[in-house]
Amino acid sequence: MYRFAVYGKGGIGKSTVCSALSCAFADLGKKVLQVGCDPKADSTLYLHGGQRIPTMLDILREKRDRAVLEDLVHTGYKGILCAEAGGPTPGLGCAGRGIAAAFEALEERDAFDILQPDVVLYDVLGDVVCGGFAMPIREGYADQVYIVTSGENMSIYAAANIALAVENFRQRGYAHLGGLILNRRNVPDERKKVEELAQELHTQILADLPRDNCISEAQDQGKGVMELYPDSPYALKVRELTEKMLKKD
Amino acid sequence: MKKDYQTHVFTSTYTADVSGVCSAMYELGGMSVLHDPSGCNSTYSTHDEPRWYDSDSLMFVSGLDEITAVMGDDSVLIRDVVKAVEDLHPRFITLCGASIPHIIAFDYRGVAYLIEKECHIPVLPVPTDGLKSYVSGVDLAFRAFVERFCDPLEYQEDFRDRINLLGVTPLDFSVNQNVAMMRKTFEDAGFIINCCMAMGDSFEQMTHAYRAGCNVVVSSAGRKTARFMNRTAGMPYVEGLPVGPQIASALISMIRETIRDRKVRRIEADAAMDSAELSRTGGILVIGEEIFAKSLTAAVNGLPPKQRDEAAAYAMWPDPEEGIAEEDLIPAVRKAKIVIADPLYKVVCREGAPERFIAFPHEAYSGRIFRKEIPVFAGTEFSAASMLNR
Repeated sequence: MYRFAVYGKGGIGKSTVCSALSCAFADLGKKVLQVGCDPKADSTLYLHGGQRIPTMLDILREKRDRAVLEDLVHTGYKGILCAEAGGPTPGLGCAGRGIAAAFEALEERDAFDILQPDVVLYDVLGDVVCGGFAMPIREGYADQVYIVTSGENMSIYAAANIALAVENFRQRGYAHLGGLILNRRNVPDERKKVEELAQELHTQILADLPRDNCISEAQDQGKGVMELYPDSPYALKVRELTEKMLKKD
Repeated sequence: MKKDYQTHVFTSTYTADVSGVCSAMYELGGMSVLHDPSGCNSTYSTHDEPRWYDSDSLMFVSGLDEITAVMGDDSVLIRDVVKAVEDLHPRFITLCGASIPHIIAFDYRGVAYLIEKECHIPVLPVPTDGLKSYVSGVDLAFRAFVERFCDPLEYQEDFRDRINLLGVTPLDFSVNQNVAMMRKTFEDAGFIINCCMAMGDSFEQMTHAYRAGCNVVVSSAGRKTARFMNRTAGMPYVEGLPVGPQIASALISMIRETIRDRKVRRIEADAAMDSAELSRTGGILVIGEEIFAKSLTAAVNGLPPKQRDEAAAYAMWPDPEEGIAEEDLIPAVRKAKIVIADPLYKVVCREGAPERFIAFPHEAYSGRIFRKEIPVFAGTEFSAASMLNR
């Protein structure tokens, strides 16, 4: 089983990248599980025609230990298995603990043994602000961490911070950094800035994804870019990335 | 209407999972570290551990403070544990914790890995949350022990007469003669106790847990461990407690059958009345840990009707996560003719119902308060009829 966690600053395009990766892995014949780890619960939105799926935490609140695996995991486009951790009402509760609780719920229900995915993708909220958001890096959930970044300064700072957390966890025998995914915002010297970051982090840029209007056009129709524009430049770069990720593992 | 599981107005709560871990590991030569701001340790040593003043064991609390928790500064715990290991040389370490580490998603496994790298002794992460009952903690601890220290072995013919007793701690059996009588019951039937997990046996004996023909789960606190051993080596198990000669005999027959055909079996409460009849005549309500309650209920139902007031017994037990909801408990007690339970449940009795309350103290519920009155219920000498005539 390949287990990847995708991190990056909020709004940088992690969910778009993750959903596109899931589709590309599915096209390679892989059984994919995508787990959204963000209280916004929109990671798998465009794998379900723009419709939200019930979040794991909402289901657990309602059904408690009566919730079964089928309540938590939903099948989307191309048979991709989708789960959204969800989270508390904004401003209340503890989102990080929520992520941890959602992971424990999957574990208690032997999700990985039963579903037997070939590829698991964790799509994780912006920054590793506390223990809960580090869950996908920890305890054997993911083997490799990929950071999505643009050349914007805030995105680079966030990426550096995430890399620090990954390095810290590596000492505990957990996942390691697989590389950077440059998701272009077309700022000046973008490639150069991200290359400098990669050098500092002793890693490499595994993909250079173009800014592509196809993405928003597809999303306006409630679809993912891989569904409506499978041959777009963005889609082709994502397919190249999947090959690299599989080889790297 | 939706049940409110969080309200306990009359009733107390069972010992927490963290104390369960410490209790399970008490006699095994390790060091147990309770990650918590302090408080759980005194509850454990004062109320949950009857061996505390009679035998030594390395039990520590981390003394987690607010800023360390908020900052996620695991180095404080690691440094303290490493220092304690240098001074005390335990054989292994068990790392468990209460609700604050749980809320900040403390990384038990990762910190255990780091401590182990520094100390070069095994560290077992047991991620308790302080919110569940001892049943969960004891079981997680035993399972972690078996997973780490016992090599799974497939069944061999030499194991035919050997059994393990799982789920044995003072929280369910106190420190009277219960464990000795339970062992004697099985030994008199020709079995060898391969390991009693974990009272009276050494670390080494425990590491041989797979060298037995069958696990006997005598408390639900041993159930997950039994399932784990079943999954890893096909070792079957029987759930039941020998409360009196009849149940002991039934249990022994079950164990023999299970060793022969490798199928899981359990003593059932075997209620003799349907619920309509129960509402009309009242019954004998047994409240306690699940396997104890079911076994005692079966023992009562095995008596001739005259010896049990012509009533049938039925069992009620706490869920490890939710306890017993008072909205279920109160009507059950009102409906019962006789209630057999820990004396702290007496507060639920109202307006002459039930007709009789038979006190049956349980260490995991009332701690030391009624310790001297805990009966010897395990073994062939216990009599359900005498208990009802008390």
